[in-house]
Amino acid sequence: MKHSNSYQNSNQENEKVNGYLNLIKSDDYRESYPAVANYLQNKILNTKTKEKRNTFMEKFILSRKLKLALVVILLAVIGIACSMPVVQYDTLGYVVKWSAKKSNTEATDKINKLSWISKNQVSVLSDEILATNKDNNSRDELLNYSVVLQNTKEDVAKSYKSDLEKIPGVKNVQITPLTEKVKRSLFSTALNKIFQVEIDVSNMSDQEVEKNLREQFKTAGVQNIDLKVTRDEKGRRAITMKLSKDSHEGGDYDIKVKDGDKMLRMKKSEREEDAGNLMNKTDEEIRAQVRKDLDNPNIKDDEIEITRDKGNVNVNVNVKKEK
Amino acid sequence: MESSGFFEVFNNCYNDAIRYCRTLTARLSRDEANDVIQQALLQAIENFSSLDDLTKFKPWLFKIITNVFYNSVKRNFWKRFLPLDDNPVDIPEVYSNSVDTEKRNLLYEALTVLNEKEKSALLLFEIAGFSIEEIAGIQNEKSDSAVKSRLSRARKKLRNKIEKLEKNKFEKNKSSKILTGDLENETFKLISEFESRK
Repeated sequence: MKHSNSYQNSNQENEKVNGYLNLIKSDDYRESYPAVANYLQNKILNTKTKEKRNTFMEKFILSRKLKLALVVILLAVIGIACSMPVVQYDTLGYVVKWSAKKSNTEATDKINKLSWISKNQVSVLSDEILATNKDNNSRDELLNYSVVLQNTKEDVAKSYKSDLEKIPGVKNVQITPLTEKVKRSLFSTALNKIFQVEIDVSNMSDQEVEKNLREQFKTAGVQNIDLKVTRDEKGRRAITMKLSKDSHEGGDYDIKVKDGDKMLRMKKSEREEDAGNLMNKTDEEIRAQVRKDLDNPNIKDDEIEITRDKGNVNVNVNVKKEK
Repeated sequence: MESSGFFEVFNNCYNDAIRYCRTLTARLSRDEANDVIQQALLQAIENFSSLDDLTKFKPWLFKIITNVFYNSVKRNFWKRFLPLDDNPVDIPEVYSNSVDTEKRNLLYEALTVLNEKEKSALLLFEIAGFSIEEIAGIQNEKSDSAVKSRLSRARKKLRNKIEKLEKNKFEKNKSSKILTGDLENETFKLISEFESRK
């Protein structure tokens, strides 16, 4: 390569500088070339392999872009659906109700002879005065029958109804389904093992209530529960449930029992946010939690009974109905 | 373009390229200097396919080396403030037949008086043998005159610095008057003394 003349002329005045620069010009690095060339070749090979891998992945993703997007959306929808609480009404059986005059012995006999009556427990309420005979002032009573048919299909309950309707003197035959409301989310069930059941026992006899509740608790993993169904002097039903620490082997549960106007609730939660915990809370804090839990800010202090027994805190809520 | 073609042309200008690179980075640490060589050569081989005309390979390669050098200087500045993650330097050692002498060290020290562009222009002209026009292309200059004045200024600064360093050295040797036993060094001292008397 040619240098410009003017610059070459000026170079003549700089022999000293040239002398120094000639030192550098004489350096020879050629011996190191094979090692450097080998190094660069290896680098190329590695880069090509990486590029090949990247290209394969890119092609795979790009060719399935739409499918992958759909899969992501689908998974998101499933995730949301799983977290939504689901309410289910399960039919446990049917309650058959009817009435007949006590004086109509023919009817009562025929009722007692029905085969399905003997298999199920019949409750009879008979305190209603129906009429007064003008001749002898005798009083008659209307017997109100009710039978709870557990695990019975609708067809069978209807056939029982028609049996009763065929008997002269039998009136007001009704079939009412017994349902339980079950509310649980897929995630909470899977992760927290919460068993949530809401049972309406309004139409059940005391024995049926006890039997049904025991079954529900058994399903929830609660064994040896101290469960009592009693009546007070006015005939009002009282359900008491007590539970010891070792009686529960399953997960958390939240069981609500509706009996007419009354509502009983038993709840166990080992989740930190819930368990955080009654033991560490003051009575006032527990009352506030109960009001929040039952969504009823009007519950009075004396309606929430709190008893502390060693490691347990029992909370009994008895809301008095205002007249 | 295939990478095998790269080695055919690279072999021809390997010596000039490494010489240029080594002198540019003479005052950097060993690792930093090797890093400039490694980065420049890897960039060159990765981008070789973008080169249309093989006859332009040498200025193209030297442009890459020059830009990598500029960037390394900038990076060294920021390294004072930020810890930057560098790629590991694994290129084999490039070595020459040269011996580190006092004269060579004096030149390297004198070159520090030049800024990056002046140093690069001077070495491209003197060591790699590029024309003014080619240097303008490598340094992204629009006119040749900018390169010409840069070269002139660089040479002047270098000459002054060399003279100053030589003088200092002579004064130092004069006061010590100790023979080092290095034939080249002793000859160099005698020449300097002779020139100063003249």
